Amino acid sequence: MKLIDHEAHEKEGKEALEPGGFRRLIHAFFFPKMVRSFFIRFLTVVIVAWVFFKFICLPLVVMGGSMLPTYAERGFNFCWKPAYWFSEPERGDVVVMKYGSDKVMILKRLIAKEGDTVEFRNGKLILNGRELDEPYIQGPCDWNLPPRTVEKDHYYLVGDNRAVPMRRHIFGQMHKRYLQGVPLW
Amino acid sequence: MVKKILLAAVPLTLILAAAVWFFFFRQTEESIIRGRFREFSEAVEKKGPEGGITAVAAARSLGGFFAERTSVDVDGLTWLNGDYSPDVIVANAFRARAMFSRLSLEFNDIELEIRENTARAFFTAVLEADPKNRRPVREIRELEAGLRKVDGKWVFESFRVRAIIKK
Repeated sequence: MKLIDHEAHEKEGKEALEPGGFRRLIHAFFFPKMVRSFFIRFLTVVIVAWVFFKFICLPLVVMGGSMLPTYAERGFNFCWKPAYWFSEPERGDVVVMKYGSDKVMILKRLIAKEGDTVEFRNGKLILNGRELDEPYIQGPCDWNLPPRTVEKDHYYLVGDNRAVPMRRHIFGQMHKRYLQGVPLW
Repeated sequence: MVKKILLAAVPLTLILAAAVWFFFFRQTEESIIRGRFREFSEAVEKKGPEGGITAVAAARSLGGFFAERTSVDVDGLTWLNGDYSPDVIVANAFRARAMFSRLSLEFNDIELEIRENTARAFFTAVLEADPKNRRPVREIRELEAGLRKVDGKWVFESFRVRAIIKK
């Protein structure tokens, strides 16, 4: 039983090097011969792509401006899932968290981990009693939030766009089981 | 040669089929409870306008998912907290379903802790609805539910509803 048609491959390769071969190669790419090797290649590509884009690198579109100016509204990105397969996220990392279902994720900056105390005082983020330097924040912020301790197995997540009123901004602590990965860029 | 391949393929196929059955189709208490969540989700679903009899039947079918007393504890909605009987739940479900032209309730990330006749489920629920004359609603909550096996059937006996992200 011959699974891959090596002769057909070799023939295609030789033809590509001949005069006018490039045109034939392009033609073969768009109008392939329906041979067994083509179906095997096609099936392999479909399976690999499905696994890759479903479990490793999820395409996503940023909806909303809670991460402005770091991530633009309607920007396209990928969620790189292996980022935290063998390590824990650090404070300051931008992370992607699952939000209810596989179809909706939220993109936020992780600012505190379990046991940390978080507070907003006149727009300044106070982490464990110390004011945090946040160069990624632009625009005015007047948030005030009493101190709270992050619960066990939770992360405290906040968006970079603090110019929006606090009640309209989705932020807070979330269980670490929803962690999906990091944006690829 | 063909005979040898066939002889090797038969046991391999049988082993593969047994593994698939064992991992995906074997009925365990966990799969039964997960099935109850699916059934519950289907019972709540409303695809479009429905007649009076259909609405009553849909609401009544929900009664079978709850124990004699079901305690509800919702973060931020204290007026909703308390113990409910299946009849009260059916009446409330009927009223609630009438408010929406379309309704769906999806359960995700279900984690189960099963003891002999009781179980605890940790999951997220996504409620999507089109209220009549208002903008569509999409609410996400984190839930912890207590279940009990009564007459061979798993029923819900408690719900704790929390915001998935808490300020």
